[in-house]
Amino acid sequence: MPSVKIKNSQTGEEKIADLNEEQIEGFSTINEQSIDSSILKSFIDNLTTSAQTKVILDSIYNFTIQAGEVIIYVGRKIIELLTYFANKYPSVTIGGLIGFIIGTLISTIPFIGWILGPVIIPLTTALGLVAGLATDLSDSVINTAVTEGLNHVFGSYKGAKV
Amino acid sequence: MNINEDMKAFFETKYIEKVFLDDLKFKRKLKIGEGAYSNLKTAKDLEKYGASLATGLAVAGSTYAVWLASLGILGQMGLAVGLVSNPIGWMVLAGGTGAVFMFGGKSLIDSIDKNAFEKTPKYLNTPIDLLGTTFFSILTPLLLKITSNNGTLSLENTDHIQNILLEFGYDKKYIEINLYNSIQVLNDLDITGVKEKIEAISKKTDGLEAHILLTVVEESLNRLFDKQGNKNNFRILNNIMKQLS
Repeated sequence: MPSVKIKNSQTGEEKIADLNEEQIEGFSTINEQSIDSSILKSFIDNLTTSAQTKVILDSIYNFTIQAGEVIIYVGRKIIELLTYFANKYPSVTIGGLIGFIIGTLISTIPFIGWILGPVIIPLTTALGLVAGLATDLSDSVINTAVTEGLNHVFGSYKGAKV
Repeated sequence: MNINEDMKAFFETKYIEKVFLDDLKFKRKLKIGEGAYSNLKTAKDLEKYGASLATGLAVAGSTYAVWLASLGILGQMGLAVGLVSNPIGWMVLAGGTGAVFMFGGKSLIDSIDKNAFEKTPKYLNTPIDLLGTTFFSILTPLLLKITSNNGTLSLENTDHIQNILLEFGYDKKYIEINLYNSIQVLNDLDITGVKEKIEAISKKTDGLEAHILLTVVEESLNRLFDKQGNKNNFRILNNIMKQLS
């Protein structure tokens, strides 16, 4: 299993991650652009949430990990998933969906949680989530669909050690 | 599950980029000469033209009246006196793309972008786009009604309708998205007051003759009816023709 030097774009912190071939190949899934940038920006701009939440989401959009020579656009993919599921399931509250996606990634995938760490407290505060970021959505069908979507993109990194 | 492909497909069908592929076809069909439609050429203020069409249609058709009623009294007053910030956004909700939202009822309105009322959709750039959207919202429900069977539409008839609309120069994606949306609420589509709506948009648009529009609509319906397989819909066609005469 090759060791890859990774760098957190937000903190500048560097670590060594042991990544297998599947995980390295998975970078292309994360970097594949599925939704036009203008749609993502417009989605954040038009959210009916606090300005603080929008600022945080905007900063997440720019989160990247540098693995060796490759830049992995992790934040952009998270915002893509958020935009997609918010549009597909308009009945879910946006705060709940943000909390669920970020909460699930942080709690289950340390590799991704490593760069999302700095936003946990400000995001929890901005969304007014007293009990912290969610790990469940009230609708089980939507819950499964979102979880599967996250797994497809980030699931292979569950065992990645950083 | 390939989420990336799902996301691409979802957003490809969700966003319209333009109304027309070739607006000259539309102008030719409706016999809108370059010198004739002075207010379309001079209407630099798209919103002013939009307000004019919106108020005309609101008075003309039950379709628009129902939609207008849903806006509440302040919305109606605002629209009537041109005070709303952007009548085009409202119009698009009412007709064309918005037909589905209006006919689908309040639940669908609740699920869409709340700012739609405040924004001019990106694909509406000129008065001819606006006229095209409005005409589309009048013609398409008629085409759907005379080809549907028990609230469903065959793929073959969907193709026939697309081909008719392509002849007007509409962009294929614009047609596909609007047809898809309209098919979802096929049973609720309103086909009353067609003549009044056509007369209203003609009245608000210099050089656009109502009798030409009526003839074009009649011709399109007759041609489509001959191609489609459901002869049981003759009664619907007949009722529409009576309205138009």
